Amino acid sequence: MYLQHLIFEKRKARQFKLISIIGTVLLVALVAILSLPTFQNTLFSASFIEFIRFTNQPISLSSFFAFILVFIVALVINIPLALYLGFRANRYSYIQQSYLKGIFICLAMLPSLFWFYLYYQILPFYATLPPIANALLLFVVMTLTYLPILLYFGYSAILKIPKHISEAAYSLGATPFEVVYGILLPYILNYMILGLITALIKVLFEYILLRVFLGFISNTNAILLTLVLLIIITIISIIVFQNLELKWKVKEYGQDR
Amino acid sequence: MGKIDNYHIELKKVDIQYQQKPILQEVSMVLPANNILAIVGPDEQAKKAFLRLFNKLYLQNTGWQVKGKIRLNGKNINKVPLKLLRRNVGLIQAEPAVFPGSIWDNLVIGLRIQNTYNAQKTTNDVKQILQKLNVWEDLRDELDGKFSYINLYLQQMVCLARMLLLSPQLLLLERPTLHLPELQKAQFEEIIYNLKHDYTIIFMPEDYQQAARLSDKAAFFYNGMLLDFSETKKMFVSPENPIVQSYLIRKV
Repeated sequence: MYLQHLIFEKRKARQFKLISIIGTVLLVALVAILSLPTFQNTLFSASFIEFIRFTNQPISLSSFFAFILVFIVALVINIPLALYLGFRANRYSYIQQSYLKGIFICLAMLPSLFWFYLYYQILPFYATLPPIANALLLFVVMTLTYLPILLYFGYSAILKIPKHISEAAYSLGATPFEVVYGILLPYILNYMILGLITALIKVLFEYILLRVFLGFISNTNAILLTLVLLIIITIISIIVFQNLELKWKVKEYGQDR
Repeated sequence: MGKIDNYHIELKKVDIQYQQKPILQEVSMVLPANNILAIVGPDEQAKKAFLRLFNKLYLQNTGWQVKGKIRLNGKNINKVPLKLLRRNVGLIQAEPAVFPGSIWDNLVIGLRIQNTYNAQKTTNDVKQILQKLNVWEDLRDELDGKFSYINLYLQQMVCLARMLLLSPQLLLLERPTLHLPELQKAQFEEIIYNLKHDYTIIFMPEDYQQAARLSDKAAFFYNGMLLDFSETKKMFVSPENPIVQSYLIRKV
């Protein structure tokens, strides 16, 4: 039974890797085509580029606090939605229907649209910081928009922890806080880190896409090099994630079964 | 503690409900100390609920209601602080619970939770308990290793040792040998049998044969009712209740 499960996991992992590699290659090709100067000139009108060019405008410090406030509002909306979606995803794809998880991860990103909307609407009105800070801020904002992914990973990991583990901790006299902090958190830490890596990779992709579309980066070689690096990071993280899952199964079933 | 001191466990008209649905009704029993009680019968839900009654594990989930009196060594368990109660009543599950960290971390986690960890004393206690469980030789050099790298039998033994380190009064065992190979099952049963000299044990056996081999008394649960509670030998050889009789004839 365990062996079957392991084989299934490996096959699934291979399919997952293949799909992600094909997807990444297609994305790279798309970016490479779109980054050609002639294509950019024809695709995007000057007004659209000017509208988005606020990222090169400076921002005032007071506006930064307003920005934090907006972030908290977005967080309040994002977290329950992501947890809910994560829960739904686990409910429906608990054992075998793993592809559904991908769909639900995408759904978990939907709240981030709200983030983008706020960012585009509010941020352009504040401006005194140097452009470098502005670009950094864009990156930070985009990272935070992918918070649901991070949460999704964490929540999925919590649900994957067998119930008898928390029950055993309670039976030793642990309080709910001790169970979460001392038992569950170390378990899900790996998953949270992987979630963070995934979120960062996605942000890097989108950040580069945005910069390319808007014509801020003119050196195509630099973009391609970055994308190649991103592909490597993606593949490594997928392999690590899958290996962790396999180890998890070994832990769950014991070694000599 | 008066008269009640003679009895280790006493239940009086205990009712358990889950979301207004009765799980156990009017369970009353008295179990002397240093006895092994096997809980048998077809009602799995009732057996599980009964086992979790003594350390109030049902409190971790909502929807449970428990009425009636449960006394442990003469003390009403509702008046004992939860942490202390769970220290006195240990639970072993079918699957070993692997906590993060090394085998040593897993062994002493109970003491750390109970704030009674003392490095020197614990080292001696761990050695004594592992020797008592006949696994000291296997685990001596592995204590800093990962819990998941040892076999299931040793994992289960570490769980048992983790519980015994807290010096409990009552042990609750929920099919502890379910995932073990036959030979190790026999070893585990022998250890459980030897433990009854120091502890009172309530266990959910894997099958009726195991209940017959190990227990002194047996409680038969059927449709949320305690149909029979008597000496195991008596129940298995000449059960008084016709339902128990018909059920045992088919099963044993």
